[in-house]
Amino acid sequence: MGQMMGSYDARKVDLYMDDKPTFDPQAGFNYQRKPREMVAREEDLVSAKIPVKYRDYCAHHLLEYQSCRYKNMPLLYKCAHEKHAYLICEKDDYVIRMKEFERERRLRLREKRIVGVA
Amino acid sequence: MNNMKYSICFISFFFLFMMMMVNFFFMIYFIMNDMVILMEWEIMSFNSLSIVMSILLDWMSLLFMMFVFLISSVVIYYSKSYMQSELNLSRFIILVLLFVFSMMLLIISPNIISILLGWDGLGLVSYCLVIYYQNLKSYNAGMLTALSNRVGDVFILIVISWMLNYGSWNYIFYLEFMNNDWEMMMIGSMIIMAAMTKSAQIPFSSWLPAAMAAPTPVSALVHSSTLVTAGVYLLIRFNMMLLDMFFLKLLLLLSGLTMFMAGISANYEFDLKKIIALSTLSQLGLMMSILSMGLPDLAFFHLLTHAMFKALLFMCAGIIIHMMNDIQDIRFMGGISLYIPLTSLCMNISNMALCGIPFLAGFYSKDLILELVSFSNLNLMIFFLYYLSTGLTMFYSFRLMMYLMVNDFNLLSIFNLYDEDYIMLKSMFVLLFMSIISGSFLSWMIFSYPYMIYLPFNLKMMVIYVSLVGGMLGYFISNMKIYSVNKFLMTYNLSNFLCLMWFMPNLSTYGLSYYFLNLGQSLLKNIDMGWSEIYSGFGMMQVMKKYSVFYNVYQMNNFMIYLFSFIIWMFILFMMLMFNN
Amino acid sequence: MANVPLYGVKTHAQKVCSLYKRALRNLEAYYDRRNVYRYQAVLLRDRFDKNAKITDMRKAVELLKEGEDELFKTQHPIPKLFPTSQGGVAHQRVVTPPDWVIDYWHPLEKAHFPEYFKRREQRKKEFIAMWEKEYGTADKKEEKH
Repeated sequence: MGQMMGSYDARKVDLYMDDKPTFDPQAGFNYQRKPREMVAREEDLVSAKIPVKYRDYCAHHLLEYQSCRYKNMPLLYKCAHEKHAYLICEKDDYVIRMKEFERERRLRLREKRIVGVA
Repeated sequence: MNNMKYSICFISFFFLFMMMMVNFFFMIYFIMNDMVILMEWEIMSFNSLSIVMSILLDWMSLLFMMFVFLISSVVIYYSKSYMQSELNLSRFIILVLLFVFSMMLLIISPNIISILLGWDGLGLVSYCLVIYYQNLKSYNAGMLTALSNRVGDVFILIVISWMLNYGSWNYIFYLEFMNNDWEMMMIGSMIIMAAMTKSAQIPFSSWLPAAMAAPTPVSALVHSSTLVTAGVYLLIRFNMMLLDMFFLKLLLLLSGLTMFMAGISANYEFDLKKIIALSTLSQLGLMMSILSMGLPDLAFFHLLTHAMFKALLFMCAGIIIHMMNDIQDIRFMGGISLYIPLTSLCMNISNMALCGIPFLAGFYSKDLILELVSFSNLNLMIFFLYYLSTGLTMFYSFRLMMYLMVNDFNLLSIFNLYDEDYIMLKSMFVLLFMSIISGSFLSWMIFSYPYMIYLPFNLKMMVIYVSLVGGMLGYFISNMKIYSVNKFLMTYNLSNFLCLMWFMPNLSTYGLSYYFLNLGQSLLKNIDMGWSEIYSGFGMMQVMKKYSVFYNVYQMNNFMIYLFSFIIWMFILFMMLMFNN
Repeated sequence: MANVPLYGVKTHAQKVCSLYKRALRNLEAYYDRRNVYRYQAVLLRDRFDKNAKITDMRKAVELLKEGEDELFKTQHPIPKLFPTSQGGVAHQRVVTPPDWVIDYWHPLEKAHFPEYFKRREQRKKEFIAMWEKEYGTADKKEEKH
């Protein structure tokens, strides 16, 4: 029931969890938006054998964390800084995705309003 | 045997402890290098069938083996002093060692046949250990344990026969690739049912409180960390296959209900070991439910930390029971923390670890589980089940603490209270150290890819709110004054329902077997000892006796018989000649 | 109390006392602190004492039946039992072997304790003598069936 109540606003405009953005990424912004790019290289990720689902935009921090773990094993508490950096980057990524979803929802609402008036 | 320098307890403790240290170093090496070793011995292979015996050593098996070795070594050393009045201590230790080796076989096997060997071994040896004190209660409890475990064995046997369809019994290779087959779905559902029987989820949960008829070291080893976690471990191994199945949602519901029911029943229970058993049941429900949400490494983490403090809790309970001359009822106890400070220290810390007090062992696993539960999208009812069960954990732990330690002493004399049993204390201190350190140690070790959790403030603090409310309720309910009316009496029908585990043990024991046992008795009395005695047993003998006496006449060479038979024969011939025309 | 001719026949006073004791034990299961239990026990005793002097047997039997019903309806599902009592946790855990098992020991084992077994044989003879003095010698006819 929690996800029914919380996603009511999104389902009203026919927007679900896995949908990609459909509007122009620049619409409504007064500055130039850059697409996000991966910092870690593909061959680094492959050679470190990182599972596919963790190869996102924060993978460079993950690579640093893994190398720090290997160096400091078993005294893993020394890697706290790298772990914190990775988690901060993941949190920022989550916030960006949340904002994208909300932007998509509001643009659809606006489109509904405009089409309704016209 | 009587003049050995070291007892069998010390030898097995030493051996298991050394194995644990070896495993510890290997585990660190394996995690560091991300190594997996799979050893195979081929038994038979033709066309597309291949039967192999394999051993899988990855970080998960090594870690679990290390914990099982640690707990079993400590428990065996503990039972040197706990079972010292036992005449056949060697028999007991050998049974425990057999149990440990079955568990090892279960942990390191990536194919389902050796899992069956370990699984059946666990069930059988736990039956032998539960009926160790051979009184009527133990026999009933052992029967309940063995039959519930047997149901799971049947499911695994069906899985074995079905899995041969795929060409080999190494399920490890099929998990990700065969997800969409109908047969694999059925195999997955059978595995879930088997794990539910072993880990005592709702339809099969009656055996765990009953199995407390076993000696306390057995409960500390078997019913807290190894036997009941075998089901969870099996599901962790199979988790890749089970991820999108309907049955996993069913498991989520049933294990959530188990968690809740066990938490409520532990509040009304008065037997010390049964309270701890129901607490184990509640934590098992937590492990199963987080597993069914698709987070197997969290379930594994909670399994390990839970093993530590639950074994410690059982051992403390064992010391208390020993001191009170076998009394297990908490209504007889009270105020013992003044007289046995070290034991109550261990009890306090393990109870706090159970509740998830910050920075002890249970906190890392439990808090992470609850935060990830809040972070995912869930049904409101499941969410409430999780948080209410956490509050109930705090409730019954607080109530237990109040009954055991805070209230006044309730028994007749404090002569027996004796805290200087160094063997039992030393073994408890090892687990105490691990129960404080292992949460933090494991949370660094296991999670190579950390979980990010982004929650609003109140949702993150929900755990603490719920725990505080539970603690306060626990305090209020055990504060009995002269003017207080007993709350059990006020809500008698409801309390009866909640106390006896929602009457499910009655359903699954009397309900299932009453008709069949009655039928068996009527078959026995009426057919086995009745009609079939007349027609084939005793009656046949009487008939033969009577007629052999009769036939004896012919064999007595009586001349009259011969003349008589001659005349009869002439008569018959005459009749035949007459009627032939 | 001990010279009951038939088993199971109890006087009314015995039944009331049994009900009182069971009710007290039931109360002990609910109120486990000793001081609280003592207060509730005094209240229960007062309830029993109010109806103690009734001489009309019909009313007394009816009150007894009501008391039994009330005890049944409010019995505690987990009664507070001592461990070695029937229904307790440690009931029948320790088994004492019966005495005649010693007679089946191997003679080499019996040779460890010569004086005890001498005394044992002496005791057996004395026991048979005591029995025959009280009940007469055994019939010769009853030795074989």
